[in-house]
Amino acid sequence: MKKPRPSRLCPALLGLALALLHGQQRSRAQLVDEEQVKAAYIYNFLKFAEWPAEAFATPTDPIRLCVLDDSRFYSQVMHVVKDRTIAGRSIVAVPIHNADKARHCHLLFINSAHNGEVDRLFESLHGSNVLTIGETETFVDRGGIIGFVTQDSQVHFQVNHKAATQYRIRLSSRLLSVAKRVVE
Amino acid sequence: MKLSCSTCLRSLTTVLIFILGTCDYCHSQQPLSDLSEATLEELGSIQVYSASKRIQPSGEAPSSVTVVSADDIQKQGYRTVADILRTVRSFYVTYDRIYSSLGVRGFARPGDFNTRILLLVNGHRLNDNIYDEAMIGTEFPVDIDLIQRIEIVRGPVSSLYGSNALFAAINIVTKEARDINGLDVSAVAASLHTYKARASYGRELKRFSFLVSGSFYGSTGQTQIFYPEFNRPETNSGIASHADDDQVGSAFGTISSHDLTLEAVWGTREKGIPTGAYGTIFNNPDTRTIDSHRYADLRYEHIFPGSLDVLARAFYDQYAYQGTYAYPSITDPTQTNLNVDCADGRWWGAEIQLARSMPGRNRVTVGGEFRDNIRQNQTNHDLHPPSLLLDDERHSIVSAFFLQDEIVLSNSVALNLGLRYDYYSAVKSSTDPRAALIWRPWSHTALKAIYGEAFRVPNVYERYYSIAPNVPNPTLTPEKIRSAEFVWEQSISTSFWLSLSTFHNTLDDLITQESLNDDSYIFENLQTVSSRGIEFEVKGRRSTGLEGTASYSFQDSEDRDSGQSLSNSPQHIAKLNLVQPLLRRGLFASLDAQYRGGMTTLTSRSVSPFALVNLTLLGRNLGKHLDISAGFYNLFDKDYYDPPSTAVSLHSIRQDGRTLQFKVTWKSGAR
Repeated sequence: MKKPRPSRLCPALLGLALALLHGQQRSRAQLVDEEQVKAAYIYNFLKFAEWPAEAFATPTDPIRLCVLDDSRFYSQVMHVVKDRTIAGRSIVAVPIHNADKARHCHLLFINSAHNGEVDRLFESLHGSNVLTIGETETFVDRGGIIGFVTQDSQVHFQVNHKAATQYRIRLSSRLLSVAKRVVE
Repeated sequence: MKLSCSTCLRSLTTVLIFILGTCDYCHSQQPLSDLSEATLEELGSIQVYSASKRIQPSGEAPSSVTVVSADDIQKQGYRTVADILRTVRSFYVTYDRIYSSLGVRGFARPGDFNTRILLLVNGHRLNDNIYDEAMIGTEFPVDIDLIQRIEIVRGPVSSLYGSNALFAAINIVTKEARDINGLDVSAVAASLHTYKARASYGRELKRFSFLVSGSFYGSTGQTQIFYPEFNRPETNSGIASHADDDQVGSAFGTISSHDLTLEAVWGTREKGIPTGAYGTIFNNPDTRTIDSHRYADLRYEHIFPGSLDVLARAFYDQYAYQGTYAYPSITDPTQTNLNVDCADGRWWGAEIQLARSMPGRNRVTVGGEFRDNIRQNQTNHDLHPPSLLLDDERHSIVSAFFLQDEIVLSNSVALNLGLRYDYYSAVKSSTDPRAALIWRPWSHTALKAIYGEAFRVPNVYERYYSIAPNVPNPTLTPEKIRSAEFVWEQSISTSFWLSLSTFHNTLDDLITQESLNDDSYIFENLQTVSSRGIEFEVKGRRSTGLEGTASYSFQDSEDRDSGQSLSNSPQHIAKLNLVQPLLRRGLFASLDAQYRGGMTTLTSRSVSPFALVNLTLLGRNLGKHLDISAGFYNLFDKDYYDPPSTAVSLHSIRQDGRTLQFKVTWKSGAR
């Protein structure tokens, strides 16, 4: 049986397709979507964070977990927190499309697409009790509280302890000990 | 790297399967419930892949949504809302040198004042209560520099917004005190003797924040425009001379404290009409229109215990129009008679919206709206000889109730249901449903199936305006659209995204201006129009910083009764937007290219297809306080034409050639 000759067109086409897919080629049968892991992390953070009493209107008021302008991640989070409670409080996932609504959140996830607006956002959150979570390297250095970093296909997080204190959110030592980096 | 063909073919197949969306590994996601039980350490050890994201607009929005930001506006040098909408997929704008008309998905009726588009500013309805007009050109009452972003929702959305939201709802979100943060001034000098100046000041104080802004725009317009249809000695050989001027004044103010925001808007525009519209004397500078809109809007937003979000609003609006039209006097044809056409609209109203996020799976929104049109008056009189021709006074009441439920059925399926009932004191009431099913079979892919209905009630202009050649028709009933749409959104990588959508629209009892035998016109619920189309859009970003969007849309609209293609309806529309940062993001070069296919006009003629290119260079944060931009519009000086409206007896309306704009913005606070 004759082996077919490699065609010249073929690598060119593949190159084009590869360029289109931009690194999406590797098989990932056993890999997990980064967003699912982040959503699970966020649920975990709730267990290790404590808000001041005035952040809630009543002792049973739910924890508002907001996702800024990212309805896909919102649905991930929604799925994780549904039917769960933390210290007697239920958790509601809230999609927000306007940073001004953020002051009323207990936890706010800001995806990397909003990187350009975070400084403005932090300004508007001044004096609130919002646990901000981002996903860029510089998020915690710019004043965010928890920033995801993805290294070697693993999701880790950094913590700005000083910022947490400013927002009057107590983070447990357990959380701080797992963090890749803690800004004091 | 060497590749054998079998590897190559396999990879290609993988690629194709991936693109077509039937790959296996997408189903092998670990169940989420397991993950959330994992400890922090365990989570840190999981191998992940990056689901692509972050360059697409709201992935699970129950509609096809486009968002244009202040950043895009500045980089692309957009001058008006119409400029922005021209660049949006499947949208096209025509200009008859009075108003800019927006077409969406092949639908733009000649002489229509954008009545089938709902225009909102911070959620406040802008369509007036006489013509239902959405003003998008220089007549739009808010300065372009004050826009923080524009959210464009395609498809019928009457289930949330009521009348007029047939083809799209466009919400313009303005900047706030902290976006301006100090003094911010800009000056523009442009071709056609165009100048603009704006000053804004915003401060955030301890207890409240405020923003005030004012601007003035003046343009002499084209000093000479040649219209071959008027090429006769008695009409200045077809040359309209100094008759295209445009003056705009606008003011904007907002003050907020805690949950309350008070906003005041005022805008007025005066425009010379060079086209001899409505049979007026050609090349007469007295023929002009003035449109003014002002309103005050008080908004309250609060989140109550139990995660109950409340939005309440009360508002008062005034819209005034005055058109002055020069005709030969009936008593002495050598004299000019000025006919003055006026509209005076005033309305106030209130709305409330409650949204509750339930722990678990859904978010319910209920709301109600009330609008009292206290004045919907139209008058018309001649000055020589003085005579009152129309004095029509109307008022009406609108109230509505709506309900929306966003239900997350599973991790990959969401359902969005909406229903709204509108009561109109003057015409038949309407109930409009909407349903959207969003399925995300795997994280790169969203599939949406959307069905919606929307309506538009006939306005008082269509029902009661009786100046020849118009004949009134008080028996008009609301028109209705039914729309089905399928959307496929696919992320190819973290920096490449595409979307494909196909739609089918049916418009029943369309309110159409019909010609009667004796050269008069009447609005009637006549046409049934159906249109089908397909749209394709890609967005991409390269590591060099180059960003871009390209779109193509094809549609075919048909008048069901006559079986003919619809006029003012281009089959092909294509757009390309590119932004390249240069000099370490200190300079941006932006290209905006638009193609519009040919279309037939109301008079069964045609306007040719054209491609336009605009180029803008922006130097940002020069010396920390200064932005300077230079815009070249219609860079290649392309000769192109728009179809006429019913107002104009021309076959087609020539548009501007190449124009230039220089703009300088200075802000006290470096951002």
